[in-house]
Amino acid sequence: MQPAAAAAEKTNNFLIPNATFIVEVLVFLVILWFLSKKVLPRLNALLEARQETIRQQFEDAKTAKEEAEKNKKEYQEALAETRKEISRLREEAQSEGAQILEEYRQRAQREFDERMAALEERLLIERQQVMLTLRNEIGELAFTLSEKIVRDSLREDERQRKLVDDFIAGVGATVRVEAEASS
Amino acid sequence: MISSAGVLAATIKPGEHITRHLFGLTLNVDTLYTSALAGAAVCVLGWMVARKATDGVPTKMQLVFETVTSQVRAYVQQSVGHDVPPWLVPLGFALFFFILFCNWLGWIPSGHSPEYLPPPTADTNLTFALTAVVVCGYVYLGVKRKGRRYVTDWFTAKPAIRRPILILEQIVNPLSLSLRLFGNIFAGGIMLAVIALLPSYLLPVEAAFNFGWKLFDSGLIAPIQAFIFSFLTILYFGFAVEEEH
Repeated sequence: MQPAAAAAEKTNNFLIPNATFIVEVLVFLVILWFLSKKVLPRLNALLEARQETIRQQFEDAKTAKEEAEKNKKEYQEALAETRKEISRLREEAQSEGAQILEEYRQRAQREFDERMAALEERLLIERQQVMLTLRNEIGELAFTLSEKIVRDSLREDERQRKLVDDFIAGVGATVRVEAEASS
Repeated sequence: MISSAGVLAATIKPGEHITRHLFGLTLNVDTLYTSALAGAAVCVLGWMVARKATDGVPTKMQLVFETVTSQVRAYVQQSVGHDVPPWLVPLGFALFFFILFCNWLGWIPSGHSPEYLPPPTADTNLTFALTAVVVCGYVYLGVKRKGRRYVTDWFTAKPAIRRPILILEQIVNPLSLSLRLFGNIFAGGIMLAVIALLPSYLLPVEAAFNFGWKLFDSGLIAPIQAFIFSFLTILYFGFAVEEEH
């Protein structure tokens, strides 16, 4: 037995398995059993949970994106609406402004016309007053003149003529002065 | 040249294990406890992650576990399709993490020859064991789905040139699956041993090489091999249930 073992030792070929092989099969089966019972179920459950989480997150992200797009569209619509409203208001304001301007112009014109009319009326009245005054004064002057003429009746025609001329010039000057004073 | 090769062979001693004999059976003790260690690490870590995991913001570790799980699920879905057996995703998951942790054990040096903590995937016993589980799994699923056709399909495939290839695949696939993993991790250990053999006046270079190689081995080769093993496993399950058209 001993020499045979020694001979086997001598010709030991490390490519040929020995009894270690059987033990190793058992060792590996134990490892396989332990991993498949104690480790992998948990890992698999986690992997599936994670996949589920990721799927859920993708779904959430998709919903959020859709939501955001909807919001954006709504916002843009509101914006367009507002812009339209603004331009409408501006046009309204412009036309209103023009209307107000026109109203004021008309009112100013009316006022102007009224004042002008009042002014003209006053002028007319004043003129009539002036004429009245003048007529009185002319009467007085005529009376004075006729007095003078009567006094100087027997003096030369030349002088009489001059007198008349002076009188007339005096009347003209008076009238002019009156007119200037009234205006 | 010959003498240096002799030194190499004498010092490296590839594939040597700490063995114990029990009832006339030889057990590679180092492979046993390192694989138990790696398996315990995977189980404890997985259990802690699963216990503390939330469906809210995951921790980094939880993220790693979840990513692997969802990747395995996606591959299984792709290659096996409908009606996936409930143990297939756990199988891919367990293979990936277990092999990864086994491969990472190469980081811890013991200075002992053979190493106290070699990657158990550098022992064909473990890789053959893993492959045996995988083969049993896909043969079971294939027979369950197709019945007798699971075997007869190899002989009726069209064009006929595919038939020997299909039959050959039944041997080559499991063999390459286990030997690829074994070879890669085993070679990583040999590489470390070769670096350790550099003459003493190259000590700083040796340390840099050692660190650089470990970084490459653990950071790239270990995860890639773990990925390839579990990915091919799922692929073979796909082949097993694939219908001929």
